[in-house]
Amino acid sequence: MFGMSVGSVSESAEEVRGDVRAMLVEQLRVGRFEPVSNSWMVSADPDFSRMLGARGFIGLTIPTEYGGQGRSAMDRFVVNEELLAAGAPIAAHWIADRQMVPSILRHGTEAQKRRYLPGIAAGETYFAIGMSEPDSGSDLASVRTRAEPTAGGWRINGTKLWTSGAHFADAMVVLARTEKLGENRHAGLSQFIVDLPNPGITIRPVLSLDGSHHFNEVVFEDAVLPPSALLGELGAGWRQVTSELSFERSGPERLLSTMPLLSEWARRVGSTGADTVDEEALGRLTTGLWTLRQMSLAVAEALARGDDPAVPAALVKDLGTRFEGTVVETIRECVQRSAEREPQRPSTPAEPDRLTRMVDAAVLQAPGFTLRGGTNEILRGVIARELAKS
Amino acid sequence: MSEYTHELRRTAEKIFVDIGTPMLDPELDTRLWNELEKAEFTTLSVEDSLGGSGGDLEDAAALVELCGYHGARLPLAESMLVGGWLLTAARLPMPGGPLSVASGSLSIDRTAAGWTVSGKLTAVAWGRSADHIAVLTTEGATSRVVLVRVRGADGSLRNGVAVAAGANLAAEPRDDLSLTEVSVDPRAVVELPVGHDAEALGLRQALARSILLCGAGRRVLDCSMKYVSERVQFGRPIGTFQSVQQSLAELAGHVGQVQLASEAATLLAGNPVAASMAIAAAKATASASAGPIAALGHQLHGAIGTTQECGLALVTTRLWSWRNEDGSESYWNSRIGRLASSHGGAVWDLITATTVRSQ
Repeated sequence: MFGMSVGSVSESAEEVRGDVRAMLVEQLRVGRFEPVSNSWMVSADPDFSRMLGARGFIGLTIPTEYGGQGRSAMDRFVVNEELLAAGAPIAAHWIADRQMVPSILRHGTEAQKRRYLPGIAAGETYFAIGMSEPDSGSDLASVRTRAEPTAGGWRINGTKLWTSGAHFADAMVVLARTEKLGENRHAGLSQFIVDLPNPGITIRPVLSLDGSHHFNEVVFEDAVLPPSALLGELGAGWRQVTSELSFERSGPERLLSTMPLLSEWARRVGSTGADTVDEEALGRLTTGLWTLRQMSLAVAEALARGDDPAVPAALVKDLGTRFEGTVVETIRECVQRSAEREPQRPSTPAEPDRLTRMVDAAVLQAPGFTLRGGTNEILRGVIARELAKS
Repeated sequence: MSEYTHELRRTAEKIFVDIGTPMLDPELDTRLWNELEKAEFTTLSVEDSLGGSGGDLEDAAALVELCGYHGARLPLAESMLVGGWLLTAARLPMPGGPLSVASGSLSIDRTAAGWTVSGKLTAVAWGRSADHIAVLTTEGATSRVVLVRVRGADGSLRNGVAVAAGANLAAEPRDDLSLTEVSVDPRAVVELPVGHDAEALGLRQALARSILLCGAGRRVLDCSMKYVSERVQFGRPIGTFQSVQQSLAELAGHVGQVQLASEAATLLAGNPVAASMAIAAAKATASASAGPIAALGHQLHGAIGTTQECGLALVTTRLWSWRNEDGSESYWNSRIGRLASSHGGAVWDLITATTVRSQ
């Protein structure tokens, strides 16, 4: 597909899958968590993260010298897709493990690696990403947060928005302008790792329409950072941020956010006997999921090999996140249809059952799927331009 | 894809481009068939000892994909991917010339003077132009293949063979064949081993059709990318307009999914546990995306794309035809739904189990 081969999973990675599944079965048996859609965003549970860290399910690709497991990218892929499919509460450590680890390994100093990686691997150190601002979303290069050199190191002023998990993060990475905006708008941006709390930083919750809190507004007022806070090269912020794009766009979280809902509904369809409409819809969703998961797997394998399948990676994000919404809409329609066939049952029961609650929760979260991680319209422009190059 | 398969594709591509005469016409492209046969591209994945040219399923699939891409007027998929598989299961050698495949009830009359077969076969792909038809017949729990020669050495229909011509939207023959006491060599009637029944044939045909659809879809994308980069309106190539870029990305998404699904299904075809799910999903994906691919392709090409002379119709008519053949998306999605349902709805298990394994 577009020059990329079909992905595969090794026997050893399948063994790790078995370990994760066994752990999840045990955790579910004792009622440790309730599977929810979008859990990697909405379900932060530090104790659960620490348990995962202790069992070696976080920091899989961190070298052992920094407290990690020293395992392969494919092992990490398998572990994460199992946790996502199960709707496990992994939000606390998700950003740190998925985004900060590659970033620190690639651009961090020895001191930064030793300072943050062991805690991330243990499921104890949590991160937030300070990139978007009130006036800078899709146009990330237009960020105005600035970092000026000062006696103590750096002084940061500006506002970041969306910053998921900033309210419990131990640190955040901030993209700031270190040189005045010139002709090349991508030049003069730098990244910093900011330890939290910081007296110059105020974090305000931004509640989502379903009442959940994961977004925050982070205001920097003369926040001082030590010189060691610089991540990577001064002025290379844009290159550093964009170097991981294919990896960020193509992860299993881009298609599995609503897997817990699909599983719950599939069990319902499986237990209520032959309904040809539901079965065909279930088949349609299973087919879509199988294909997109194959795509995500193939990209992960290609990236691990050192290739950069830019078009397939962007397609995973565009198609996968739209598929997450399709899962919600299809199940909503089928559940509603079934409910309306039973004349005695009201359409909004006073005590909604688990499936209805899961559908409602997913409906309220669905708008975010195709907005986060790169709005899909922008991604499609990228895809078209990449194709034209080939 | 191995370097060998890449090389194979390059050589075959040249033959399709140089020799093939694509058009919406039911006549078999004999010159193209002969050239492909000479290059040993009509019996890939069939072992040497059975008259094949060796290679694996990926090699055969590469040729079939090209057949779809170039709108080639011949039953390459039917002969090689389906017929080759069926005859190999029966340890029958590949006959030369175009071969088609059908599933149907034939009555076999075994007399001392010789054996004859009678029966009706419906909508046989390229039935009127094939030299042989490999027919899978079922009697209770027993499946047999009957390799029927339908054309004589001079190219005319043999005694007892009558053809009622039919065609799909791409003018490809889909003919009803009536066989009335057609003589058949007793050695050409063979009981098939377990696992090679009508169901298995259906899966094999679905795999072949998915790969053909993949080729046709890829052609629509290539044509569309070329067109929007060359067509200038309002002072610039229309490919620079955002709305056109969005549509192109949408088209690429569909084509990419069909490609990956059929490639994965090809790799999993030999895996008894994973094959049914993978092939069903590939065909469902290919069938479901065929309509959108055709619609987007036509929308991007504007009015010129709706003409015969443009050539886009060679592949869009194939997309419209092939999506319904060998099981539509509705058929295969229902099967997958029943499969998932029968396993207590364990969708995730089904998905992770249907994966290529590596060392």
